[in-house]
Amino acid sequence: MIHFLNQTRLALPQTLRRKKIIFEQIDFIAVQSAPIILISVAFAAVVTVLESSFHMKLVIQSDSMVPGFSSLLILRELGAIVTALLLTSRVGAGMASEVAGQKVSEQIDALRLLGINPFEFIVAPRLVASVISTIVLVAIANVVSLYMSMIVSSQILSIHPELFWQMMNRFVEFKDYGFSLIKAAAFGALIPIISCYFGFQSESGAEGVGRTTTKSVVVTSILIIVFDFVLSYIFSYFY
Amino acid sequence: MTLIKVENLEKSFGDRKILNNLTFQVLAGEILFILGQSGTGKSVLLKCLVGLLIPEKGKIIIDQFDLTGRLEKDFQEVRRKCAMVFQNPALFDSLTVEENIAFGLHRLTTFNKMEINNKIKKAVESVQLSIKILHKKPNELSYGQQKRVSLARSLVLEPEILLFDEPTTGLDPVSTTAINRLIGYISKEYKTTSLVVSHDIQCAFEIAQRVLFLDKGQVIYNDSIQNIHLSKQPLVQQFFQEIQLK
Repeated sequence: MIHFLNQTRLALPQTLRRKKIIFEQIDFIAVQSAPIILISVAFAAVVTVLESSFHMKLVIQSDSMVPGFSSLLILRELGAIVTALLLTSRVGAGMASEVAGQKVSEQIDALRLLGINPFEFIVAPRLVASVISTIVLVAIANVVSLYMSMIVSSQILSIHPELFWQMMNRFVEFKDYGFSLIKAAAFGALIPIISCYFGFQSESGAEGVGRTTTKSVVVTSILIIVFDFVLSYIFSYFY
Repeated sequence: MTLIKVENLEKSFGDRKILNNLTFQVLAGEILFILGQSGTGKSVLLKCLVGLLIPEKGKIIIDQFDLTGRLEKDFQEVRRKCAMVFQNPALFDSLTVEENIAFGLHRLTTFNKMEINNKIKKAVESVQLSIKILHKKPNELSYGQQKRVSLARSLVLEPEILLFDEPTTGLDPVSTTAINRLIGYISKEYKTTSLVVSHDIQCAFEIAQRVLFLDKGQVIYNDSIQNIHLSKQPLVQQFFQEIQLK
């Protein structure tokens, strides 16, 4: 893994020449994933608002804190983690099986034989595209989630949108947006690195490719949750 | 003149020794067939020759360039002289046939666009394909056509050494005969030294100048195809009997 990471790092400066592959990957990761992610995070935000209202009413007999609480939860956790986990299942699985297919069909050997570094051609462009795409998707997902929270708060909890924004602004700081995007960048890097790593290790045959894809999705999902904890812990020192 | 020299080569995967003290030489311009049962290390040997796999022991010298202990970047010198047709067509799915064939030319040469186009056309004609397929993606071609495109991609770089890893695997009998004849034709036309890994002893009789028979990672026969019936090795005799039965 250390060798893999080092090779990827060394290939990064050269990969910027591979704009065509980077744009194709951005289309695959960001554009094609956007509808699924935005629908999912929007509903996750709705659930967050309703659940936090239910619990607040139960404990403090008031749900006036819902806008601030749900906005913070969306920005600090929900937007980034839901997006990353959805990307893992859609994009990570796709990348792992694609790279595994390239490995077992000897395309990676063919690249090496033609004097092309597979890290420069396969891993690094996906890494660059994934980091950019995840940041953009999380930023949009945050906005959509907050907007949905406001609508649900207004329609179901009778919290006026203006009051929602006032409460949100009281609780949410600019650094919450920043930390959300840092998490996005970290998760965006994890997905292609783990997927391509397992793809490069794939055994031959349909079973080998299938196993690679499963392992890649499981490991990436676990690492995203572990990284989420580590980053949240680090960010807690900034409050 | 000896172009490829392999001495005491050893390669293992885990506890399994694939190549065991393998020694042989290949002369310039020769068509050498490497025969043997599945799992005897034929494909591993080809990959060791171009540095795609690194042997644990032994020496490989290609055109006086010693590959022993080299790093990945050092292999470029020898890879420029070699082209390999893999067991799978190994075409890049996202690229068209034309882009696949031109891939190495763009990367490894300084030819201009017109020169590249001419070379692509010549390579496509050499493998008896129509230039109409140039704008197709690999998945729009038959398996036999993909194999030919893979061969064209190798030829276009005008290598001194051509390595074929089971070039007829998965092909129907008609395409198999066509590809085998193509290997013979190309080796003469482009004056390449060819190493062909195969199970097809009939094809060896048609085009091989010499045969290397591997068993358990060792050479058990190294002579011309015409003398193969004189071998006392049971496995070689078994292969020979197979062709007599056919």
